[in-house]
Amino acid sequence: MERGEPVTILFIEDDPAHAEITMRNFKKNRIGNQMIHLSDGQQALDYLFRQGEYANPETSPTPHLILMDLRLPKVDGLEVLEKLQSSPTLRCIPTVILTTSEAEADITKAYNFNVNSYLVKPLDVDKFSKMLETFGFYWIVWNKFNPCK
Amino acid sequence: MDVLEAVYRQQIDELKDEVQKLRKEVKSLSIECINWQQIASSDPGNLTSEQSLTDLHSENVKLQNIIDNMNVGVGIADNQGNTLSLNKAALDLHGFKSEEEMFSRFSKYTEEFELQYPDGKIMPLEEWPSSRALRGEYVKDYEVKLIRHKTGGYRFINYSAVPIYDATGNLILLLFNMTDTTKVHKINEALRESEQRYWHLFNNKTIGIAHYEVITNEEGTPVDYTILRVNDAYTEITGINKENIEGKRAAEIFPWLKSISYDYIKNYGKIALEGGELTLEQYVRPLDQWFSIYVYSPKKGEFTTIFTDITERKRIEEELKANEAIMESFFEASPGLLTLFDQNLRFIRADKLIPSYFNLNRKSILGRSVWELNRPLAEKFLAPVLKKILEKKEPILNMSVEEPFSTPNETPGYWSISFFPVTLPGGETGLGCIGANVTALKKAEANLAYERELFEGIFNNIPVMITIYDPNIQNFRFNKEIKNVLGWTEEDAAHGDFMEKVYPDPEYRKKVIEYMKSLERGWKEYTLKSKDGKDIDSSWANIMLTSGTQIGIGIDIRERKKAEEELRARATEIEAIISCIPDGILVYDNNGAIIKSNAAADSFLGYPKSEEGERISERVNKHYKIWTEDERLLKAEEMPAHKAAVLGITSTNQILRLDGHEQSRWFIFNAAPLIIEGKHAGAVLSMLDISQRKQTEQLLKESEERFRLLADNISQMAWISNTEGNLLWFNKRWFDYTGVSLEEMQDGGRNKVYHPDYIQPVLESFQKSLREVSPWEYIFPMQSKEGEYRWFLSRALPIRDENENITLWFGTNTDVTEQRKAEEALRESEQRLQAIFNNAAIGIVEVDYEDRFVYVNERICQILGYSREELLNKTVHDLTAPEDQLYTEMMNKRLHQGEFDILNYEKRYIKKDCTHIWVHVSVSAIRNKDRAKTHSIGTIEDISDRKQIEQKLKDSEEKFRSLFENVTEGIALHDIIYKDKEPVNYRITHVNPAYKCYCGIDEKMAVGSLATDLYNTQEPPYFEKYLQVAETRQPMRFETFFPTMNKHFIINVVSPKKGQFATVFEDITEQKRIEKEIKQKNEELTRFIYTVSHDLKSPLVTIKSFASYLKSDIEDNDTETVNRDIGYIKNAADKMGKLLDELLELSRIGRKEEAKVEVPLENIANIAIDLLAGRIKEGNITIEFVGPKVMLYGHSQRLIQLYQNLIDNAAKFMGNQPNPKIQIGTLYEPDKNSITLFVSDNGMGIDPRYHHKIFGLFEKLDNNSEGTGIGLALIKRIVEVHGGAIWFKSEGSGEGTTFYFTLEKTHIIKK
Repeated sequence: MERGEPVTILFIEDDPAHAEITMRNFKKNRIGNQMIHLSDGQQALDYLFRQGEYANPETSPTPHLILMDLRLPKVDGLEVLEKLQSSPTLRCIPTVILTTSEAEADITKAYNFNVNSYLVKPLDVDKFSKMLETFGFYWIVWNKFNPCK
Repeated sequence: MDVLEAVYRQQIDELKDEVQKLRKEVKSLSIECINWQQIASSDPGNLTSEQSLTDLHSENVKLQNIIDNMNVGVGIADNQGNTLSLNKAALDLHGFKSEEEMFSRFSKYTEEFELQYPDGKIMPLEEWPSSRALRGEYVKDYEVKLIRHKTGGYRFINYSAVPIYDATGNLILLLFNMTDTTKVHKINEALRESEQRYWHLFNNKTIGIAHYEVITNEEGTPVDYTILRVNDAYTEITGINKENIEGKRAAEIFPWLKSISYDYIKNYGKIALEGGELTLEQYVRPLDQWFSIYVYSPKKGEFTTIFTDITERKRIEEELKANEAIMESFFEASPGLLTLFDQNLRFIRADKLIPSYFNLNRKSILGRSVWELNRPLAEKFLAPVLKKILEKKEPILNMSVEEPFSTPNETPGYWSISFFPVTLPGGETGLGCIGANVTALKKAEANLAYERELFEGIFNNIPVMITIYDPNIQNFRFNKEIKNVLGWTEEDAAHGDFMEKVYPDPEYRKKVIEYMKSLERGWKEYTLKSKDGKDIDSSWANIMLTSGTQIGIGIDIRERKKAEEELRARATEIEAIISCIPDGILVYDNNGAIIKSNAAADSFLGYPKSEEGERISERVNKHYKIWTEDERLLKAEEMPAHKAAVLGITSTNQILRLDGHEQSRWFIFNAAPLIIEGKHAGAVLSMLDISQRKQTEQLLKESEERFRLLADNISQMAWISNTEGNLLWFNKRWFDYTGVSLEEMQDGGRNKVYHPDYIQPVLESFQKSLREVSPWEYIFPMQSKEGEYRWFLSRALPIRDENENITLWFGTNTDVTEQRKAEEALRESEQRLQAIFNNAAIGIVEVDYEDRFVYVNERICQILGYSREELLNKTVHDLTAPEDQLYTEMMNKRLHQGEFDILNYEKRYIKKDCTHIWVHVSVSAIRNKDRAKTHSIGTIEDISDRKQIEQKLKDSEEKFRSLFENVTEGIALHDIIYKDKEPVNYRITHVNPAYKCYCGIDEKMAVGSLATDLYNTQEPPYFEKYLQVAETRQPMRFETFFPTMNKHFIINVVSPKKGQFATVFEDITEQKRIEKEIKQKNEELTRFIYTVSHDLKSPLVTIKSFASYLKSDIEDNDTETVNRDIGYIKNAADKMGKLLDELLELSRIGRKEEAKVEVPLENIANIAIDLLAGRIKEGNITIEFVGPKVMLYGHSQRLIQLYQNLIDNAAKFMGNQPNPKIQIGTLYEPDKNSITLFVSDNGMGIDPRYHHKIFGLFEKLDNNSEGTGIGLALIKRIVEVHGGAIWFKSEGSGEGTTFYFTLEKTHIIKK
């Protein structure tokens, strides 16, 4: 990854309202990056495995980071994670879970699929903003991504 | 002259005294001679006084005494059949109280008694021993039974009768000899009965008896044994034919004996050699039988085993155990609450759970104990014994205890009890005991009262010279008197010619020897030389015994000679004397004319008075006839007086009978020539009237003769000994038997005759009696001349003289061999019986003809709970249970009628405590002559245990069977199949009805089939596991799945017996299904909770976020964003509301509802369609009904909801279908009688990838589509609540979807 190159984030969230909130936050905190938003698990898999409409790597670049909800229509987030494990390249993409579920089972399963971080959406709006701000700084400012993508 | 006369008189008086004294001496010597059986019959010359007559009388009485007191009956009868005399024993035998009662003629005896043959047949008079003897037969050992008419008493008598003939061959006397053999008969009868009893026991069918003889090696160690004899039951029980084993060695017959662990040879051999007994239960593998064995030794070196086959019992026990094992496995496998009680709520069996409620374990709750029944007995007696048994694990044998079971009313006896450990079914060690009554064995038969024999002794220390010598006049033996008088000893006699020493004058010696050889009777006077050279005048008589031995008896007559000479010298003075003498004295001149006679002579000679000068010959010819003792008429010239007076010949002690005018009288004459001044001047004659004595003497002679005959003919031996115990005489019988003469006997012949072991004891015993003067009695064996030993009862009694001094001992020896043998046999038989009676593990009884117990053994007392005394007062009838009485009586009747020998059956007895006990009875009749009074002997075996076990087994089987038949678990029993000892397969032997439900295989097909055939497999299913169980008998339990049946099972495997196993199937499919469902529900719930935290929270986050954005929007006055934000908020709020509604709805389903009703499907569907009318119309959807019309059953509101959701769903996912169509239908399959409902559409269908998620809560496949994801979950829930199932079919996207479902109690509406 070239210095200054924008960080591509694949954002998978079925709730449009939540997607809007997240996007607004990133925008507000001026985290300069490329957000690709998908709304269900199937789309996410199609994108990552370059299926169907996402076959073109130009328009559908491999993301630096995946930000994903767990409760997803059609294909559940955990299923998506499982499938990614089968691909040696995709499994290296840092993945952060952003969900409302605080269920222990979900957390455990997610980590079992080697997620890098698990974030629970706070019900407090300020805290949600603060979390997304910190997320942005951490991943985009401080974090070094794997160069051989 | 006066003085001279006085002197003369005095001299005469002195002489008179002298003569008197001499006479006395001579008389006593004579008496001795009489007693010496050779009686002084030939020499009565000196017996010239009244006293001698008295003595003769007393002699006769004494002889009578002897005869009377002999313990054999003797009798004498004349040739007319008149009884002359019977001795006391004979009177007694015939039942006469005194001689007066005795009838004189035999023929009259029939009025008193009858005689029978020993077998009970009446003996006709002509066959009576007396009749036969009268006909001249010599009757020997003729046995009869004498029955008294009056009393009915009987005796067995052994008669011998000897006819006695005179020289001319005329029968003159009958001599009878009778022995009482009643006792022998009674013993024989007892023996026969005992043998019969023994026979019964020996020949019964239930108790095996075998006799063996031990074979020992050189060290005396038993190495083998020989089978001597076995009974039928032995064959019956073991299946071994007696012919094949009797007389053979055990090692030959039972080669396996050495290879088995129980050392029969050592243990049985020990009993045979050392005594003792042994009781054990033993399994004999080669016979595959169990035995209860009792071993004892009837005789050293032999042993007897008494055994019963208990295989059946053991087998039943085994079977019971096996059954119990299966039962146990049920209880073990039971998940709890499986318990069996009896009517009294006693625990028969329980599993673990119930007893634990009572703080008891399964075992402690079962059964009762002695502690409960009799605490003191348990505490004081049984508990310590049990403790010992358990500690040592070996029997306590023959423990002597005072009757532990006696009640206060009984006399306590002493018992010998053996305790031994017993392995009870279930394997625990228990206590066994066996007892024997050790009441001192009856001693030998009580002593018989013996009649006493008296016999006067004569031989000891008599002052008579006695010498014994052989016919060649050699080998002299002398008595003491000879040594005293002559000084010669036997030593002197043995060296050189003794006769020469004694009679030096050859002429004289020749005369003497001639006399000695002539055996002439009577006394002779000889002059012998004594050792110191003196001439000894003596008078001798000699006797020859039957053996040829001669006895010489001598009297020293020196004194008499001297006196006589003096008397003769003073012949002239005799005149004066004779008048004073009681003897008749006559003095003759040498012409034979009477010169003088005294008063006595005149009275003797009677009228007419003899006149002086009358010549003897004249007088005799005129007045008398004179006879000698041998009835020869004496001539006048032969008269002693004539001979003395005229011829000068002395006559001494001549006995003559004078038959005169008035009387006939016997006299002893002594006549001597009168020598006066050296010149023959005539003679002096003395005469003594001995008529009375002669008469007595005659009697005595007869008596003596009889005695001698008797003594020699009685069946007993008779003998006489002196007070030192030296044998002086014995009868012919003795000699006939022993072949030893009296001399030999006296010369240590005992050693030849008596059994070596008995010589010393017999002598000591006899000497003791001699010292203590008590009647002697001893039984010992004596050897016959043939070398055979026979047993004799020897008895002796002291004989006293008139002064009560013991002079002799008289003895008899009676042959008791046969009696002893019989007694011995009886004792042995009794012992054998006793052994069986006392030790048999079965009860033995003897019952008399009145059904009464007359003998019971200890075991039967134990079985019935009665004491011996109580039982002996009962009858079989008293003790037989009412149900069995008819049968018992019938069977016993048939037995007594002789229909069969042994009767075997099972019946119930009533015990003392009124409970009933099952016994096996084996009875046989002891037949005696009197059929009506037949006893019977029976063995009674307590089979209550067996019955109980049988009942238990039956119960257990019943329990087992009912469990087997009724349990819902499938059960199958199997046998492992071995091929070449390798397990290869298993076969189904039993299956219960449930088995079919499990395996779908019919019982008929399953039973008998091999597993590989039945289940159609290469390898029998689960073979390894089953085999392990069948071989180790350790139960196993495993879970398995049968794919063909789509079922899950738990299989419990137990082994009731090695090589067998039972499988118990538990169907756990439903359990599995429920488990799965629960798992699903849990997952659903989890998902619900997670979803709630997500789906309910996310609208909240949305609302909060946009509300906050709204604030900044308004500040920024960005109205467009405001509207958009408000839209988000509104959507989120709506979504939340809907979510909550539906969740609420979902939770309500299955909870409290209105009642279920029947309602037609069409109605429900139409209502649902109405509710969705907007959407249907909007989507331009056609709805049609297909299939038969059905009636639904349920909560109508829910059913409407169901259809509403399904139709709504279908409408929702119509996609781009140009002709949207929804079918509401039913499918009827008449063969299954099932109705399936469905709702189908031709819409977008469901991607197969998502099929599994369809019914999940909050699952929705399309985020853009409406709905909360609760809809299908709701549908599923409703269907489940209505007892149905739901599934769907969709070929994929664009292919439409059909939801199928069933509902309970749906049925076709019939037109």
